[in-house]
This record gives sequence, C-alpha cells and structure tokens, in this order.
Amino acid sequence: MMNSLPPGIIILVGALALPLLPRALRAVGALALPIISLAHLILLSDAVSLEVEFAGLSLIPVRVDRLSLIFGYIFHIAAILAALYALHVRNTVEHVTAMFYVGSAIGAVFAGDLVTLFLYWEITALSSVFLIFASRTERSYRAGIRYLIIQVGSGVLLLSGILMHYQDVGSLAFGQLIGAAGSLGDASLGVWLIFLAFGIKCAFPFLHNWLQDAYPQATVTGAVFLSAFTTKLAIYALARGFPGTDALIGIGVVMTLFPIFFAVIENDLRKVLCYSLNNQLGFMVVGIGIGSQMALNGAVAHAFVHILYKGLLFMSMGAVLYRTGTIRASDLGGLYRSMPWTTAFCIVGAMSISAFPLFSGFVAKSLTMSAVVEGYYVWTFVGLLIASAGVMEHSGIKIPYFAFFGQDSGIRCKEAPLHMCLAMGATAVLCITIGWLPGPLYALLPYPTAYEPYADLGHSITQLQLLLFAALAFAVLVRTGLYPPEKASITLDTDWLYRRLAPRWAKGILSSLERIRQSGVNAIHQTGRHLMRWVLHHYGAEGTLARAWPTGSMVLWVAILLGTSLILYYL
Amino acid sequence: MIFKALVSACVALVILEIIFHRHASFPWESWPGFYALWGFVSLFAIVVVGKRLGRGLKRDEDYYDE
Repeated sequence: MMNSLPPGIIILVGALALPLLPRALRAVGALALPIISLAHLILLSDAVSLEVEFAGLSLIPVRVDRLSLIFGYIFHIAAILAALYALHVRNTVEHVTAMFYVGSAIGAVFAGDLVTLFLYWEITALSSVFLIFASRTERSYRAGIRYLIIQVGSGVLLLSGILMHYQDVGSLAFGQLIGAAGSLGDASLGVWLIFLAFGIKCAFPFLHNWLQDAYPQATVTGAVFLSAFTTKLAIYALARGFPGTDALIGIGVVMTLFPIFFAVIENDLRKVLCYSLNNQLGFMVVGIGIGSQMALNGAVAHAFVHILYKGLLFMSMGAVLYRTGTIRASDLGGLYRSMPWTTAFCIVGAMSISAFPLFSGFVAKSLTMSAVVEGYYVWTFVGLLIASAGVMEHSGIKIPYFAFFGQDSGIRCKEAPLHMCLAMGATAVLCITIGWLPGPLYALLPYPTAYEPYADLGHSITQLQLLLFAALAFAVLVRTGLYPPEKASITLDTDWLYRRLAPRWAKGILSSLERIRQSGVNAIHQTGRHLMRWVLHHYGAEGTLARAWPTGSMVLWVAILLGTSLILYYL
Repeated sequence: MIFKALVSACVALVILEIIFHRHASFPWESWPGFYALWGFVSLFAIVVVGKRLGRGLKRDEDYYDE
C-alpha cells in the first residue's frame, strides 16, 4: 500500500492540511512534510512503476528509475533546507503554496507519462507564483502576472505538443522523444512544441527573461524555493526526452556566456544570482546535448550540487535583505562585521559555484568538462572555459564582495536568525562534504562511473590558477578604478520587448485605429450636414416649397394645367 | 595585504604547475601558465565588455513604473 503511493502526494495532501494546524505550528508542519516524504521515497523499492487505465488512455503516474530518483532526492533535500530557512514565516498562503510547488515538482520527476507530467507542470506554475505575489508590492504583483502568463504559456505549448505527439505515435509514455540521430530537423511538430515548452522553463536564450524578471521580486524565502525547482525540473525533462540533441550544445554554450555580461552590471544582487543561475543551466544543457553517459552524469550531478549552492547563495542574500531591507549592491558593503556567519556561508556557496577544488561544483563540473574533452568539442570547451571565469566574476567574487566587503555602507544589523543560520550551515556542510567525498553522489548518478576528480593533481592546480588569476584581475580592476561602480539602476533585457516595445506598438496601433475611426465619423457627419442643408433648402421653413405664394398665381397655374390637359384630351 | 597574499598565491600556483603537470587533452593546455593567463584575460574582458553593455542598457530604477 505504502509503495503504491506516488512520491510527492504526501506533500501535496499535507499542504492542504497545513491551515488546520495552529498558526504557530504551520511552519513546522511545512518542514515535517518533505522529511516524511523523503522517508517514504527511501522506502520505495528501486524500480517500481504504477500503470493505470484512464478514459481509454494508459497512464503511468509513477515511474521510479535512477534518473527520477536522484532528482527526487535532491528536490526533497532542497525542500527540507528551504522549509527550515522559512521557519519564521507566518503567512499561511506562502507555506501552503510552497509545499504545493515542492510536491508537484517531485511528482513531475516521477511522472511516467506526458499527461501526468503536464498536470504537475501546470501545478508548479500556478503554485509558485504565490511566492512572488507574497511580497505584496505593485512590482511583485506585475512581475508575478508576467511570470504566470509565460509559465502557463509553456504548459499550453506542452499540451499541444503532447496531443500532436500522441496522434503521431499513439503513446503517451514519457521516454526519449528525440530520434537516435539527435537531430531536431527530423522531429515532428509535436516534439518541437514539447522541446519549446521545456526550453521556456529551462530559460533558453531569448526565452530566459521571465527568470530574472520574477525571481528577484519573490519573498526572501520564496526565492530560495524558486531557485531550486522550476528550472531543474526542465533540466530533468530535457535529460529524459532530449539526450544527445545536437542543438542543445550550441544553446547551452550561449546560455553560459550571455548572462555573465549582464551579471557584471546588474545592481540587484538577487538578480545577479538569477543571471548566474541561467549561466549554470547552460553547463547542464551542454551536457545533455552531448548525451554520452559521462555527459549526462555531469549534467545531473551539476543539477544536484547546483541546487545546493545556488540555494545557499539565495539564502545568504535573502538573509541580507531580511536584515537590512535592501539587496542593491549600491546600498550594501562591509556587512561582514554585522553578519560574520552569513558571510562565511556565502563564501562557501561562492567557492562551490566557482568550482574550487574540494568544493561541490568542482566534482560535478569536471564530469561535464571531461565529456566535452572526450567528444573533442573544441569550441564548446573554449566557451565553457570563458564562462568559468564569468562564474568566478559574478558569483565567486561580486556577490560576497559587494554585500559583505567592499566599501563600508555603514549599515549595522543583527546576524541572520538562528534557523536561517542552521539552514545555511547545513547546506554549506553538504557543499563541502560533496567536494571532499564525491563517491556517494557519483553512486546516485544515472550511469555507473569510475571518475576520479582528484586523480590528476595538475587539473586541480590549473583550475585554481584560472580562478585565482581571475580574482587577481578583479583586484587590479578595482584598484585601478576600472571596475564599473555600482549605481542604483536597472538593466534592459529581452523583457523590454514585452514591457516597453509591445505596449508602445499596441498604443500606436490603437491610436491609428482611433484616427481612422475619427475620420470615418467626420465623413459621416459631413455628408449628413450636406444632406440636411439640401433638405432644408427645399422643404425647410425658409425653403422653396414653403414660400407664401399669391393666390392669383395659383389660379393662373391651375388654369394652365387644366388648359394643357384639355388640349391633350383633344389631341 | 589581501592583494599581496593573492599575488603570492598566484605565483605559488604557477610554480606548482611546473612541478605537477596537468594531463593535457588539448595541445594548448600544456603551455605553461595557459590557465593563469586565460583566467586573468577572460575576467578582464568580461568586465570591460560588460561595462560597455551597461552604457547602452542601464536605465533609472523607475523606468518601467508609470
């Protein structure tokens, strides 16, 4: 009985029960749910699947294999850490929707068919938007609506794709959707639509800006939840449906590169983390595109460790926002005096994401890089190497430097609350442990691997060279004053197209329609006026036919008429 | 002080690389100091390009609020 319970369902049902708890216990309840659900997942036997017939369709609501299991584990861990971090939140809606979001994301990675995937896909979109609305500002409301439109749009594309795909192949099973050649050119329209739906959630270039637009508007705790699930669900879906798709290599490289330039100039530090998140997804997408066992292992391992250190970075920036009320780099600096623990945890996250040896990022990224080398993708390797320096710039240095060091802002505040420090501390310990002992993580990967990240000492040394010389360049830039100063400002991105250009066009089109309407109305008025004038001329009070004529002329006319008719009669 | 520590760490790493060679997959990887130079130049270029980009794309914070 326990075994047939779909993973995630405990959290979904439990979320509904949270409001029944006393107000003070709801946050604890939200923390308990993913813990209970994780215990249930561990008890599940290794490879079960549940099939049901529904309305003539054969559905597989639960499919447990190695790929879904590792995402299931990390989603649970992320949920537990985020719920611990959110222990102070008293907003019930936030707890309930966060748990709905978590439960549906977990359900989605265990979905064995496309319809189940679609259902969970939409629930993640609908529930997560409340984490943005919960900030209760005009900006967050508007950003939330934009986020919802794009996320639901992705769901609509997914559903259309699923229906077409079902007509083509007669099966709803969610397995590899791309052909063995890995070419999108041979794929059907249905598969293309599914690919596009995944691509939106995965923040492909030009489809990415919902991420940087919405996440920085979420609450302190909401952003921690958001950073973990939506995009990594997309990574899972791509790894399941599109491994070895050639196009993904190019898409991934572009994804690793363009956000790093935006991250340099962005002032909102949580938005910097969003650009960084986008760049990290690029590494995973490259791995999926290469599609070898080692590359897929790399992509999945990267997703696993990324959820932890990105969560840690969002937690530390959230703690700064919680204590100081601002997250603008231009307002911050010197906080290490007030928040030493948060500073230390943030640095662990920064070193992990930059892939310092002995930190978690290194053991995952090395797998992907080795797969790139193995396939001899020279340009991809060069691109990822530039992107690695970029990660060091925005996440390794900029985030900790502008928040905790740099110019002293004069802000003196309290250290982050205990439960936040505990959540950050636990995450930091995981980041370091995985860096030292990657064995257990490697054992969970979808394919067996004998990879040894520290076998080649020269590899670690050159990686340290790359990172420390990049840090040196940063120091030189700051000392010479060449580094651009942080100013209160925003940066335009593709959201400008739909927040500025499209409304401006719409306004232009509406105003020209209005002009056409106006001239039409004018023409009708003009014609009416002419007609009226003509009628009045003849029939009006002063008109020809209303004149008072002398009786004599009337008699004359009658005589003429009668005379004429008489003549006609005789003719 | 931190700057000096950073410089000496960098020097130490270049010396270490000469002792412990990296297993090179691409020919350029075996050039001494390749990764050091790559890291320095990449970050420098990223910041300079980003700065340029900022000149075109930066707006006031209330740009979208009307």
